[in-house]
Amino acid sequence: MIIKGIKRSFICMSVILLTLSLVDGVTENSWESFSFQLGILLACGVVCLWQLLISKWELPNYFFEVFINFVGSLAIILILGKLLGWYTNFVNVGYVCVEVFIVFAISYFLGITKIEKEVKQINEMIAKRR
Amino acid sequence: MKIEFQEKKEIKEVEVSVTYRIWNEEVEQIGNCLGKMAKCISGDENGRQYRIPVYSIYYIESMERKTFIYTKNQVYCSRLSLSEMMKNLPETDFVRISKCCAMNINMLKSVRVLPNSKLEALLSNEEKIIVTRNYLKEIRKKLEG
Repeated sequence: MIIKGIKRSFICMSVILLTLSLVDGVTENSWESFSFQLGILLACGVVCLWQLLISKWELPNYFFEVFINFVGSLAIILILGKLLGWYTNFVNVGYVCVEVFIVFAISYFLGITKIEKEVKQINEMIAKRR
Repeated sequence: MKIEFQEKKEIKEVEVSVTYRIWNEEVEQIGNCLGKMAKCISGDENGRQYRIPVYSIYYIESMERKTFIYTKNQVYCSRLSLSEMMKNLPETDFVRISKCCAMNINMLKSVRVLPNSKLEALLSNEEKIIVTRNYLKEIRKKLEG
């Protein structure tokens, strides 16, 4: 579960970093600054904790889980980003929102496919045992 | 390996004896399987204490600080928590399917994904119980042995 949380938060943060590198909000100096790098790590840690919390809740509906996950992760990134001064204007924030949404939409469909595949494997195993 | 069944009307409970030439892995496995079958846990029903054979249990559910043991026709109550009960059943075929429920894997007939992405397990007594997605891997591991 911990590994899953770390993996998910790293995927999320790598998308954010990609977005930040594509938009004009963050300058080259920012990337080199220690506080900026520390901020990224901090955000990664907080998102990771959020992901773990979500897993612990055992929400019954997968869509709802992914949606809550999306809203929470986005809020953490936006609040921390604002506090740490990552965003210079709302254009960048919009980019981040769209990127995070895309990541979660993809993860939702991948998750559903994975669950269906696992259920199929389980049913095959049960059939073999009988 | 030779398997023999004998019907004796005079005995009160099933007797199993294993005859072997040398103690080896096969004999050990038979012993483990029989050990699982013979394992019992205690549960209350209408104020009376019963010993419930583990193989007859369909699932165990914890609700409002009480633990309920479901067999084919009976529901027993236990003062032990689900975690404590699971500690007593480490080498059995019980697998956790949610925070508050553990299921006997031998009673599982099928699993299906509901339209709202919930998972539902169908047991051999046609009872349906909800499975949490996080525990799917554990079910698969248990089935793999």
